Amino acid sequence: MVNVKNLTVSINNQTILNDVSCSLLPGRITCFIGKSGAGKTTLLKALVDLVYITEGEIVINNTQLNSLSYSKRSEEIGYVFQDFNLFSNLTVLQNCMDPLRVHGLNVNDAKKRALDTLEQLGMKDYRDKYPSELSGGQQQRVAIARSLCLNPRVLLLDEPTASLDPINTAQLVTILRALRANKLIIGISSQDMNFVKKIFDRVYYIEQGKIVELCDGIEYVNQCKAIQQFIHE
Amino acid sequence: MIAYISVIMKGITVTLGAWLLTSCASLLIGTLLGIISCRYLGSAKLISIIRMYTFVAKGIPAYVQILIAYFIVPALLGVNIPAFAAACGALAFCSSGYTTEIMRAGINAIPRGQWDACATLGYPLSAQLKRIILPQAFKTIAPALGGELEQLLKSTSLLATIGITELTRTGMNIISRELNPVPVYLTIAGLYLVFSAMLGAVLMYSERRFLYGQR
Repeated sequence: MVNVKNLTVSINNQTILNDVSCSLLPGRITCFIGKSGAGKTTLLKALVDLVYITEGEIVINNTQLNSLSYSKRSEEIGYVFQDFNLFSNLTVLQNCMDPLRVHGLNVNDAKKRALDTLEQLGMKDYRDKYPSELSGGQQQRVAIARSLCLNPRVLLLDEPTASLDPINTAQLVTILRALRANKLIIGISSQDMNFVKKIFDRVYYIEQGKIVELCDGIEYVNQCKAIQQFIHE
Repeated sequence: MIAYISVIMKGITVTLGAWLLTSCASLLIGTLLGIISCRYLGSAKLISIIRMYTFVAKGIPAYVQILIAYFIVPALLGVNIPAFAAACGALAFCSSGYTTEIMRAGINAIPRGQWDACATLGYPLSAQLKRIILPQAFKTIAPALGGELEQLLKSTSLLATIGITELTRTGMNIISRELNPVPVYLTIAGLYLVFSAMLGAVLMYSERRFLYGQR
């Protein structure tokens, strides 16, 4: 379980997140929705220490995030960027193998784990391609595979459907449902309500750096006024 | 000319030796300073100091730097610096200014997302640089870096100005004996062209190695 307590993030004297508290649960997909600039991406980035946390704390399975080493943190939380950020100088297989090598696995073990993960995501046949030779949907699956190779307990995805067509979005939904079944903690920031409606277990609505509303299950969605309003805008 | 082959070979050895030494020093210093002055790692103070260094190294002609290193620096320090060491040191100082700028530009051209991806995957800084950032930067800067190394090869002829018998000086010595400059200068020019072509071939091979994802 991931617990975010009273999180405040300020960048250049501007408060991006203001006293945010939320939680992400195992085997459930938690979505963060809100308009552009609401602070969704900043919240996910704070979870992987890509932004400086001004106040508050993040606890992962009873361990403070800032007490974890750089390396250990990456084994706990996987992060898939909006524009994927695959390493352009490495092939698909190397993109998945290299982080494992950095984490101390030998070549054979790293290769086996990378190939197994790529196979799960249907990308094994593309192992020798470079990222520039792949489509957006394929790059995203490689990015998910690269994160999953480290066996994280948490997987965060920032605007995962931003550059996907409907077919790739449907494939992503299938992948995320399979990961949810494996009890992974999944956090997603998105503005794409058609996508969110298909997969969410819990939704936080963020507005101007504050959590305005939590919808704790699809059965409660009609009672969540702010979320309803956002959907219909 | 055939009678002078052994002398010319000596000159070639000095030229290539000086080039090898100065290019290694220039690449090493340039890479190090380029890394620590890039926008993601360098502090404002450090970047200012390195900018000052590159301003001096690039702003003073290599010829003048060699003269300063040979005549002024030993007088200031009160030590005797051999001509070869002074000249190579000056050339390395001058060239490092350019390679620092080239490296910094190459590293700064790498998108922020590549650094962030390394961070989220738990790469320590050394692994980020060695495995991801520098290989990508080299792809961008290979032509500029190659040009600098070729320029450095030609700049070794400036060693002649403080009496080092490298290739150009060897030619001048032969001319003073034979009083027939045309074949000597043409031979020397031809040799520089051969070395440049060889270096160009090596650089082209290196560039091709970095053309990942562009088959």
